Amino acid sequence: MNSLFKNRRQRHLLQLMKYWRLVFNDQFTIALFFMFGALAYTYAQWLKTLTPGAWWIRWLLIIWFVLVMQVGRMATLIKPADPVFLLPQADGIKKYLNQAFLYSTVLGELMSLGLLTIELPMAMIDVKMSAANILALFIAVFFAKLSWLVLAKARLSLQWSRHQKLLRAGQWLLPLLIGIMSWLLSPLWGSVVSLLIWLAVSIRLKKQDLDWRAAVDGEQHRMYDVYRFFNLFTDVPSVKGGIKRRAWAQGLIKWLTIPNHAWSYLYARGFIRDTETSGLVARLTIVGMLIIFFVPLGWLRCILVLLFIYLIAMQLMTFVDHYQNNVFTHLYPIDQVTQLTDFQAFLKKVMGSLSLLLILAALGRSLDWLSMLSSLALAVLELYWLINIYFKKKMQK
Amino acid sequence: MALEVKHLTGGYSQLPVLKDVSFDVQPGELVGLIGLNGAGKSTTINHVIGLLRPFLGSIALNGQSLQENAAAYKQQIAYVPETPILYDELTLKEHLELTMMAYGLDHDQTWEKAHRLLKTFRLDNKLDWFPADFSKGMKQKVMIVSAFMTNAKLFIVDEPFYGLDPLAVHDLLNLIEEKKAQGAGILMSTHVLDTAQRYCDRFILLAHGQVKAHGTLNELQQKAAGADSTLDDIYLRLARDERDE
Repeated sequence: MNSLFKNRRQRHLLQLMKYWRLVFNDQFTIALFFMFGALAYTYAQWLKTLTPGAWWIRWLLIIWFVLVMQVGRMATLIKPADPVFLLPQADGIKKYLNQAFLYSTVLGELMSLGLLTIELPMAMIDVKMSAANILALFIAVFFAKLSWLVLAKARLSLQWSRHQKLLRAGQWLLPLLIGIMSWLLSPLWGSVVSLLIWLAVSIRLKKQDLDWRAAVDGEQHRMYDVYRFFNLFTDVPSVKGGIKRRAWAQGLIKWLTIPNHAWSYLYARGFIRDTETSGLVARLTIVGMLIIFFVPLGWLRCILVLLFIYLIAMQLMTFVDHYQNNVFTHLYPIDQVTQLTDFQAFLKKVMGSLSLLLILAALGRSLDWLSMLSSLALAVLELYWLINIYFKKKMQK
Repeated sequence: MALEVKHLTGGYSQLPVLKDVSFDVQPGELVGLIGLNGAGKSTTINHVIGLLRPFLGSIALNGQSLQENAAAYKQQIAYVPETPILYDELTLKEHLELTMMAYGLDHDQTWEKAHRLLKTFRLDNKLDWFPADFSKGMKQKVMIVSAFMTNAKLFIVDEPFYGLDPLAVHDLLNLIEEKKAQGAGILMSTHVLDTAQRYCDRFILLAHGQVKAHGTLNELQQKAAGADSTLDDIYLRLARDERDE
């Protein structure tokens, strides 16, 4: 029982590592590098435009403070079979949970503290932050996150699992209180209040016996979210999208379908109704449009347009194998060339239309026609290369 | 001559599951493929539908082979898998339309047939349903309708009776009779031996990837226990022999 959590943690970390490796494959490192670069640049430019003393700056700092607290959850690594197999281990499971709490704390604190530093440059503009102030702020964050996790752990206990709403509210309101103290009074006050709150919740929520059902549900929920994140970048087998009829998109399906082409028929319906693929493409397009629109440099917008087209096309191209596991697609008397040309036609339509959206966003806030038109010209070339040359080569392999 | 399998050796990886399997299915004939779990029934079927490539030997359907002309071969077969396989994103109606497109079937004519089949299997009011809404039996019926509305020359039916209600089993057998009368051959694997005994024209008994016996019930009886033994007896004897080996 002692080594159970350790083993699981190791296996969990290995699994995450495997997925992180996939996230950081060549193309994505480049893309992420650019995206973070663009974001950092935009942030820096934006900071210059701020006037010190504007009332809303402090509230923005508080909101960020509260949001940052929500990152890094209680990871128990409990599995659905545990309630059956570990039923006799009433004491052992307490130790197990303490180990899990420690693990979650280390990760949660690192994430919260790391993310909080992002708002420090903004705070500097408004407040002269001394070293002591920064230290006090970190202490406030540390204990705020610790209280947050104590509440998270309580949500998995028999004593408190019925008060989910109350605890959930606490996880937002307590950080809000500490944030207000820190940014409206002073970080010193924030750290004192944060420490007191931690003492209070720790004492009040001391008695906890594990609620198996809540724990299993909670952990599955958490893992699902983790997988969903990775699924943005790579294919995670345990994440399967739902199917939605989307009657409103019937026209879109019709537009995507080439009459009497079986593969085209399949791809159009699969893409529109499978929430996984179309959701991913839609999210990437919207995020791309927003980033492109707000980036202040014309040439950078242009590069970002090309980059997002590339990223989305890479994601969409894997859809060609969506039906690989359906035996019937191997039985149809249709040669593979037809399947590939049907998919190319599908790619052309989908990529063409969302590229147009990205190109429109390249107009930016300043209605920069030059940037938009050059994006348009380059995007046409890129799409031609992606669909007619790159995709073909990839399929030949 | 419909399906002709000659000296087929094959399987999934390097290790052959099937060893020198030969049999044929004639037009207008229902042939039962019988054997214990792991005897090689599914492997045989996977070879016939072209998911696996023979290591040795040949498979031909009316003179066409997969290697020489895949499209012409595939055009002639229809398949009902053991567990229903459907597209999550397609409605029942769209499944049938897709099959028509894939096989290049005449739209109106085939829909006429399809409607008759849908009515038989009481699916005619569920055309807009997605697979997620169907029970196991309903899914199996969709597979049957989709396969039997085609003009295939050979139907490959894998364990069709599980999950079907008695009425549907009866309707399926009628459908098979009808296709036989039209000159199609049917290869069916099953464990439901009394049904097989009553309906199949010939049998292929597989064990350890080899054909242990084949022929009509009469021929099997002569070879095996005695004139009045049932398919059940013959099968059990085979099974016991296998265990003692």
